[in-house]
Amino acid sequence: MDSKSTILVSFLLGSLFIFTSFALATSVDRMAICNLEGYPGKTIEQEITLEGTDLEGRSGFWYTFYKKVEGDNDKMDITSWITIEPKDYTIKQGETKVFSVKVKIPAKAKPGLWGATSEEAWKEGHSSERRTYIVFKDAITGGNVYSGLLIPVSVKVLASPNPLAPVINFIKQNIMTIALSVVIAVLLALLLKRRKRVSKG
Amino acid sequence: MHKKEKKILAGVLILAAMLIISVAVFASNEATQQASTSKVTTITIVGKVDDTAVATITFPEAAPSSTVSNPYNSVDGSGDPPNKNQVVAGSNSEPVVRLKNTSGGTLYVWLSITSWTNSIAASEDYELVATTTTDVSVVDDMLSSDGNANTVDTDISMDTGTYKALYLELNLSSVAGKTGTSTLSVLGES
Repeated sequence: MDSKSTILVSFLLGSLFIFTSFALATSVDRMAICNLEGYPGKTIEQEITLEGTDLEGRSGFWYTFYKKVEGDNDKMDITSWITIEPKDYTIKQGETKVFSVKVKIPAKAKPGLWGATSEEAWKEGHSSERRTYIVFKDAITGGNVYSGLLIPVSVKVLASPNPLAPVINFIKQNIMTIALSVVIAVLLALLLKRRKRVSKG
Repeated sequence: MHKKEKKILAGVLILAAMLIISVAVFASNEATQQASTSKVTTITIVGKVDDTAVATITFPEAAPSSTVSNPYNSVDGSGDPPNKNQVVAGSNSEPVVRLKNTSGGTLYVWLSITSWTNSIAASEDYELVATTTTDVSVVDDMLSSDGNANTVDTDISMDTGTYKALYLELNLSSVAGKTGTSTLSVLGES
């Protein structure tokens, strides 16, 4: 192969890398934040991470979204419970950014599932059971075309905690050990009692 | 020590042994399992031919109250067909952009716009079709009925690695001599 041919082949191969820029987007480490559990008045905190994969830097932001469906009750829109920090971001290729999602359950919230109609809402294809979302979207810096993802959020509000719950849980988890210990203690007490009676006699 | 006492003591020792055994942890046969999930990424908005990310979509200037059916994107630029401005026609129609699902799973497509500034838009419509469809002569799925912010669930899914063609049409208001802006968002839901 002469030098002109070599140069031409090198140019053509090189141009594949120079002129082809495959657009990728922003990836996220979870597609749902569903079935969180908490008591009224408490705040639940979760982390969510974005990773930049686009060749160009992207600017974006987070917000909450309620998908209104006719017949919804007041348990479906929990957007006012949610804050995401930081709200705005810029991300470059290979960069990861961690965001804090805080869900503050109002003190007067009644027990039950909030933000979705079913505990199955986290599953792929269960869109019709979702109502409250967090959304991130970003665009090439200076652009007006955004892409993003809708991430459903739901919370299971628990009834106020029973003060004896830790004790009951401990007994449940160690029932065998406790039962055997009690039997041993009773037998030892019988043994001591008998020894005392024998020594008196 | 009497026989009865010996029996009680033996019982205590047996129970104590049982207690120790019940608390002890025995290593069982173990096998390591491993699983992983694919990446979840946003839908990319790319040019008509190349997979290059589109930054802006522009509707050319037109008369007040008219319909603008030939927007163009920042990757392909403006000009005569092919592969420049959008073409709405019974044959050889061309979208303004293509959408590509680079995510690891199927995504359902939502579209959203912010309110057009300067009250320049009366309404905006879309069509989202397979890229092989080239007979799009009508763009009439409602994106915004009044030019204000709106979000619509297209109910159209995209399998991983697939493309869709997006057509946009803007109905201008009666406002004259103004320029308005809005942002378009393509959102995915699993």
